[in-house]
Amino acid sequence: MHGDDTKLKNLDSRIKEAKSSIKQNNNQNIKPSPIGKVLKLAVEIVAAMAIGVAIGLFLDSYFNTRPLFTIVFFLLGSSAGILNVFRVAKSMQNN
Amino acid sequence: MAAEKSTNLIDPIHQFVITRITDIKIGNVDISFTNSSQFMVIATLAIMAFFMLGLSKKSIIPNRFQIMCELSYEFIANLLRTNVGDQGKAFFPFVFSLFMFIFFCNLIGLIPYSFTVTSHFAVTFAFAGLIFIGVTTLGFIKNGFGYLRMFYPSGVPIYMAPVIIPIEIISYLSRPVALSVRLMANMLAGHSIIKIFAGFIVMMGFFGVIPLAGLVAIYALETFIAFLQAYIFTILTCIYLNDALHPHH
Repeated sequence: MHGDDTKLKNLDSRIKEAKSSIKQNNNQNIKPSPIGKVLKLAVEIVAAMAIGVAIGLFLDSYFNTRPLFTIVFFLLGSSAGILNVFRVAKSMQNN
Repeated sequence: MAAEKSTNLIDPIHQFVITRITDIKIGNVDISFTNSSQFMVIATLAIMAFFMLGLSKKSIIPNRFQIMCELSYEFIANLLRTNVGDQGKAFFPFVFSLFMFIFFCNLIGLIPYSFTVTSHFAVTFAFAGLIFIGVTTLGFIKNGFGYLRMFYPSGVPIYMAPVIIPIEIISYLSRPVALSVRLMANMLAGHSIIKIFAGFIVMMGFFGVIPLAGLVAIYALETFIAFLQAYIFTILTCIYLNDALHPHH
């Protein structure tokens, strides 16, 4: 029983040592590949545009004003996409 | 149409066809048990088996299985702590199950003759849409109508509001679409490439060794992507959770 205790304490200190040495050199080891980053940006811009156009088409079919809202929301969607890309790119730079 | 095409050796899309195993209908709603649901069940059982096997003997000096289980736990716990903070602990069960399910679905899809659940937009959008609804509801519960201030960034002059607010709302609505398309597109593209390369091996006869080498490399990359996409899906969920809990725009 006593031998187990000292063994455990030994192990504990060894784990702590190993952990502190690991922490120094890799805190974030998962990084998306360049292609992954590009895909991420592409998806952001396309998704925002698609949502914009979808809202526009819905409003147009509701109010019978085709193509007024489709055009307006396409432009808004594109701006939202660029805004998204800008934000993602900024967070990528911070990492 | 799918049945005719199955004779064609190189049909990279055929692997994504959904077939019914047992027909179930409630009213007009078709809830048949398909191969997709079958592999969802398999993934869930695999996760359960993984943790039961790994944690059956809780020893102080763990064996490999137990280390894998504990690593996956710590990995998600760290992710939540760094991205959401202490408040995120309440959502650990949800985020952990989400990550494990997507990860296992992706991995099981890589086994030949199996089916990739996450390659279907319906499945990934169901995930992302439910997360989106849940996070939005949470944001309103935690912050009341102050959550709407997220759509009007501070420091923007008032005459810009009619433009900025729709843009911010569209940007917010595009989140679940971007989230689900990313996962679906990665899985679809990866599995199609694998199938096409496998077709080259058969077509080229002896020289099929060359695409075979490529296939091995792509397979390794796909295994990494299976993990990476599950990770990205989870980390984005954490970021959205954080936005709902502490909106600071």
